[in-house]
Amino acid sequence: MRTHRLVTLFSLVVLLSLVLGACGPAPAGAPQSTQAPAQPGSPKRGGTVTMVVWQEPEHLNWELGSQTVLDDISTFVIEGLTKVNEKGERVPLLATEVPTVQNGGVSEDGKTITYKLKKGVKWHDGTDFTCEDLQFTLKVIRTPGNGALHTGDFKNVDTVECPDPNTAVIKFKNFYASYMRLFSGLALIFPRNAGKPEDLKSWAYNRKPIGTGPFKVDEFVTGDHITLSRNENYHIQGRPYLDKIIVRIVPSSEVAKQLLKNGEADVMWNNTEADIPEIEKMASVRLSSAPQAGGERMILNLVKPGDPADNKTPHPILGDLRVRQAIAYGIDKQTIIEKLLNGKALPGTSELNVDPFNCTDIKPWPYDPANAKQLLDEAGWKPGADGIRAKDGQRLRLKFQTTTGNKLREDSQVLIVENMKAIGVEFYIENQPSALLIGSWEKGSPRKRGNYDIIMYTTHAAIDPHSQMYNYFDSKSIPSPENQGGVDYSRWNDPQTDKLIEEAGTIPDWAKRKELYCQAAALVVKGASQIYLYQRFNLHSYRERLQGWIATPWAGPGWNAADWWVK
Amino acid sequence: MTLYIIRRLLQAIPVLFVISIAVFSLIQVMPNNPLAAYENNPDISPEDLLRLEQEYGLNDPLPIKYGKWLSQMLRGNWGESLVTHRPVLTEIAERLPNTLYLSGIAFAIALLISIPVGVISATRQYSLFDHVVTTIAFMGQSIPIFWFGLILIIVFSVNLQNPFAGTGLFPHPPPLPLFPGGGIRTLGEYPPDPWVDRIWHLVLPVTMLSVFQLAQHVRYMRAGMLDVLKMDYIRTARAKGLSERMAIYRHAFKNAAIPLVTIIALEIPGLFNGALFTETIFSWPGMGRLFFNHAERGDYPVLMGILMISAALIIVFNLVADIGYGFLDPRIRYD
Amino acid sequence: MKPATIAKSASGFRPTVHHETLFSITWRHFTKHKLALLGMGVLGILMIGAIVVPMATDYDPGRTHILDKYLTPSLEHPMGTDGLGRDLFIRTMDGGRISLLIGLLAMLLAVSIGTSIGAIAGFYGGVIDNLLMRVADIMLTLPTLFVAILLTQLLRAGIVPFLNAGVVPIVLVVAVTSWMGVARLVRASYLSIKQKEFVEAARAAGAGSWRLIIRHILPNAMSPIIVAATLRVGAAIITESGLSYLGFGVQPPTPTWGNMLRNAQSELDYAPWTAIFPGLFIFLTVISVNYIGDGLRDALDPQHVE
Repeated sequence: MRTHRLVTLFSLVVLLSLVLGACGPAPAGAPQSTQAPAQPGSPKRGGTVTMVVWQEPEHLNWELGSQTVLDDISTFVIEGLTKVNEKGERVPLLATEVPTVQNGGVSEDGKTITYKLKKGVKWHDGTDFTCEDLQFTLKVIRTPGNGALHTGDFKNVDTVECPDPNTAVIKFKNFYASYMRLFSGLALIFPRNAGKPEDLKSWAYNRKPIGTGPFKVDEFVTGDHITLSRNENYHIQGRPYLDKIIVRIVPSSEVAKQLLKNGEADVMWNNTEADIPEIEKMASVRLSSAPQAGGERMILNLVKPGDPADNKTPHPILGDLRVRQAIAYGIDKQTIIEKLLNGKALPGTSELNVDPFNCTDIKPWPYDPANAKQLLDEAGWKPGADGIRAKDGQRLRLKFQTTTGNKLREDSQVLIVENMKAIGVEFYIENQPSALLIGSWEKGSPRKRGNYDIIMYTTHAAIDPHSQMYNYFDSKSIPSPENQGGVDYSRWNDPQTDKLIEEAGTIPDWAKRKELYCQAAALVVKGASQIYLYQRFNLHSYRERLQGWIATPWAGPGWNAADWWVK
Repeated sequence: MTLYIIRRLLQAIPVLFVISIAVFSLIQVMPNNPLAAYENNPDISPEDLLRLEQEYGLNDPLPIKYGKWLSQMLRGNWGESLVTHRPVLTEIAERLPNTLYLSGIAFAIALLISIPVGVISATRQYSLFDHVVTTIAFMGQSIPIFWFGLILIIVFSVNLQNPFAGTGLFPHPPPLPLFPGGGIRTLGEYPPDPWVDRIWHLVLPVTMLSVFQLAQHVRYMRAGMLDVLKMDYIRTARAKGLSERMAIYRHAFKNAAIPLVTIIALEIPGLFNGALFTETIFSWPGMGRLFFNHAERGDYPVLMGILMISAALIIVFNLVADIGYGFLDPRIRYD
Repeated sequence: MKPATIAKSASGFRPTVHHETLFSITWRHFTKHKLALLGMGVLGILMIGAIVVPMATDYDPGRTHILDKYLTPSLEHPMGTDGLGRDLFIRTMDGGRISLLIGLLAMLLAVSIGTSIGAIAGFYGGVIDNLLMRVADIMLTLPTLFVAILLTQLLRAGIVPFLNAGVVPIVLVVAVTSWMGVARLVRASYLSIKQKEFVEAARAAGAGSWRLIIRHILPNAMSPIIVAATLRVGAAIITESGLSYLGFGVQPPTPTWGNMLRNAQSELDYAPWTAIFPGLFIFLTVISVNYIGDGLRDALDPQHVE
């Protein structure tokens, strides 16, 4: 028996040392500064780049699904009439120029848009790209019952006319503020021989999309990888430089990071801020960062919680503007950004925070706990024996929810709860899975039904802010049993805001629209129905051998993949 | 005997039926639904979302959904995934070979090692070999498997380098990790010879997967052998002058193996389900991940397909185990 | 048990009789098992640590010290700190308290369910037995991990309000997916014991079914139940850690070893101690429990060979 015991102890020691030995140094690679400037050189033709993604694409049809990874892979393969560059400016792609009122592409009333299509563009299967493809695309989107996602977005479109194969005239029934996005991001273009519109769900296209882009899809092995190879007939001479791009699919971001680290991957899609210290230590790996539109926010329920909420009765605690503002003053955003996000985020300001609709006049809400306490005192909330305030026998206690399974959020919650305790407010945590918390009315989502106090989550904005502003802050978007599709979750109901947003939705002049939207956004910020925590960055990382990378908040990393080359 | 088999198979039908209802209800009550991801997407209008929910039949009451599913199923149509829009059987057929490949090899290796080790350990009870084996088996059963996998990756893929990088065996120039961090084969430039590549990618996941099984089987084999070796008939065989070898392998082993056969038969359906932890840590496109990903999205046709096949396999192999037991042990009679 | 009385034999010789209860016999055999004792010792230390350490220090799971994040192990922080600056030693001990609690509760629940079902099935036999065993079969055919995931999401949805608090969901999930083994065991015991003579005797003496099940047969079936129960604790702890690792366990900021590992997996390269220690403790606990179970098995059934 003694032998047995000795052997056990010995093995435990061996195991322990093996495990401790695992905290060994990282592998070879001379520690260099990753900020070293790129070798100037001219692009070379050839080479393969491996990009690792950790979200699994369900299929590759942009009209049937809307995963981030799907959109990002589509940028390699499928093109629209125009695209948005890293500065948020629209530039022509399959169209020869961006239609404006000045060049006659846009009619005075904004209801007729004319696109001149580039000549000589071929689909990956060899057929010509013409205006007919646009008509076909519209037909598919409008075919009922085939699973198309964007039917509602096209409801203002009357027809697409083709006076000749290289001219497309889009006629609108009513002015549609986001007209620039149709066929250029909000829906792309299908080749007219992709299949019958009603069979959208079973097209071969879904596994192997045909586009006009710099790369074409060779194979898609579910859950494992997608191989893209050069489109030899690409309409921009001499591009793309790369021979192949391999998209490797892995189940988690940790695995993706390992592959970046051990050299099996050249590009890691979608890093989180927590990865940054590690990536900065990796020799020959660069971090690409661009501020995202949208951001992480807390929404405060302005009405009395219920299932469903009574949208006419103000929230017993949060209905008071002073309380909401106090909460805003009490949150230390800077610490969250520095400690949890490694400094790679900007403090939240307002709903519109990226060019071309960047409301730069709106500054981040300051961290001022003294002011917070004063406001709460004024509002009649007196601190009790345990430090938590109360008024008329009611404790200042609020439910604080976010989605489960997200470490960054969980850590942020812990910090925020502490912040609140310091000013005498009690937040208690009750997280739920994303599908429930921020899901549909049908499934009983508390956010939809108004059965919550405070919820923290992220939104991603689109390049045109109208749908965002209208959906989130116009009183007609308040969710209720009659309006189950509404998304003004915090039940913000202000006639002034309504007026500003609706007016902005009727004029084609972007400068004027921006002014109106920003005024509306400022009202929301002052009313503290949303607390904008931070604006994250689009983070990707790539090995130095890959040249030509340009970071952008408006598209996936491959938006300019035609210009990538390897040293 | 035939009657017994028929009876068992007939009994299985109501069981399958009840399972299908139970699981279907469970899945439906979960909040996940395939369209949930679009709730926060600014490009998809609220009206579109509601329209799609109608199209997918997501708002139908539970009995209607079940009825639709069942009637399709009975006609041989396993339905389509609500998320990828491909037939359920296609989804399963794509992943199943990968899973069987990995689980099968891990299973085989676990058996090949555990049986002889268990036997030798039992015949040399209390020796050093026995002590080492028992201790390791104990530890193997106590380790959290996902932790073990993480440690494997850290040590063998991130921290250790491949000394053969750049040679004929592994044409990729250094740095190359000692073992790859996942996947079934090399996708980038400089792949090694296909057979080398396969084995190279199998080493770590098979190790992770087989550790627990190895430990368990060694202990069962050893315990079974020890039980049998003490039996009177072995003593008789030895007394009659039978060589040690004959006594052990002919008599003892066969009898000790009987319960092991039952256990093995019961584990075979598990091979089909894949191993979620291993597949996640080593990016293996298998059945475990298929279930997990589609469960997150509430894609019930796929989930039902997987669970029904799994249940059927378990029922069949339960029967195989019982019959096998009866076959091997003449004392058992079924009627 | 009362001491055996031996009638005076004709020659007046009266041998001495040792009083032996089941407990003392078991204990005697158990203490021969050095490793089992070691297991008990380790487990004992862990349990004491898990209870005492968080109480003795001024520890608050919600409190963060964000400036101290990711410190390597040192004298002040024997196991380093995690991403929010919390001392890992205290957190591991607190996590141990919760994980052990979950393990014990889940085991108790699983054993209660399993014993009840197994006893009823084994005692009554016939149709009841068939039905109950079919239910067990159904539970067994469903892949455990999958069912656990589905069930957790269901409970989280808050359909039944009080079942959504703290450790309750995870305890329920682990118990519901693991009672079947115990049920089978108990059923087998009852099937064989009910044939024995003392049961006949008790029945003849007028004992009703429930009395028989609980007072007469159960004590004799206890040994395999105790062994199974002990081993269940280890299995429950591993299952909980697996589910927490996937994100289906206890919510933050309450630590369990499983959810600490989940947090740690993304920090493996620069803060491996956040993963090593919780994993190590799971391992130590489970192996101790397994050794104890082993010792108990030998002690309670001297014919069992190991």
